[in-house]
Amino acid sequence: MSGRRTVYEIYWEVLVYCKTPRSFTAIINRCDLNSKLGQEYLEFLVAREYLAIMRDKERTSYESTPKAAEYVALFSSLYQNLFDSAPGFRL
Amino acid sequence: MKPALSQFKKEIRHFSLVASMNLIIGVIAIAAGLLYIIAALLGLTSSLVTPDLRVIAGAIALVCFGLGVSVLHVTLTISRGVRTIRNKLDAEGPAVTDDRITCLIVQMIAYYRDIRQMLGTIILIGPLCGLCVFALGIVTGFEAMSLTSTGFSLTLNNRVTILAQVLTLAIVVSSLLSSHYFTKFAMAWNHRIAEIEASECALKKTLGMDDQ
Repeated sequence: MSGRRTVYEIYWEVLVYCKTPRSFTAIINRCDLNSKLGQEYLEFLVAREYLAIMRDKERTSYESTPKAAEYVALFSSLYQNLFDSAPGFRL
Repeated sequence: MKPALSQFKKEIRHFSLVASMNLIIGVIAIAAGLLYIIAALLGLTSSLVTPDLRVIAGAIALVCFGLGVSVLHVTLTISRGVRTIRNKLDAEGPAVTDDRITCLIVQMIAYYRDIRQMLGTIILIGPLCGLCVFALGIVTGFEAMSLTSTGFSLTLNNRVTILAQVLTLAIVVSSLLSSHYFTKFAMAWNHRIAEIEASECALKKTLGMDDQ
């Protein structure tokens, strides 16, 4: 996903993508982030316990925690509510 | 189908329709401008009564061509991203998940932030382009023009020309309508972006960013 996104939109995207364990490279590729920014976002989400780090031998992956569900649900409802009513014009 | 998805699909579909209409207007403007320029180069515009009128028509044809190219270019740029989102929407089955709907909405909002300025441009140049096609049609359709101390009179040459004027009038109306729709679309999306900004506090609170 590209275009101008807010930090909250990027957090949401990372959390939804990480519902199944994902590697750092997969996350930054999917969410269209550079590695520096990707690292910052992941560190923030890990620090807030929205993402859990899973280490399997030499492979590190990230997975959303149950705590992330609250944010994902709130975000989805806010964005979908934007389309609950028509904008007041017809074609 | 969920109301949000249904509304989102409808808006994207309507936007694509209006963008297609704008593309047609752009192509017609390019063709009209180019045809007049070629005709002038071949000396086929001598039927125009005064040289002044030929100069005016030439200038309008150039503007028409330029605006047509701009309308075509900007509309193509705008509609490319919307078409991608529309294709993704169409590819979704009836059992589309909440996350997928939100994902497409986020994509459209992010894309709208990118095209906001271009949309402003097309709202402005679209009707100008239509008006130029109309003006070119009027000027090239003059058979006689007389300016006296008591008044100003114009005569159109034949019925075919009058039919052509009606067509150019339809182009003006179409360009005004498309501009009107784009304005409404921009207003709706600006409102949504303002709503998103207002709701960021709740997201910030949930993420525990209040202390930062």
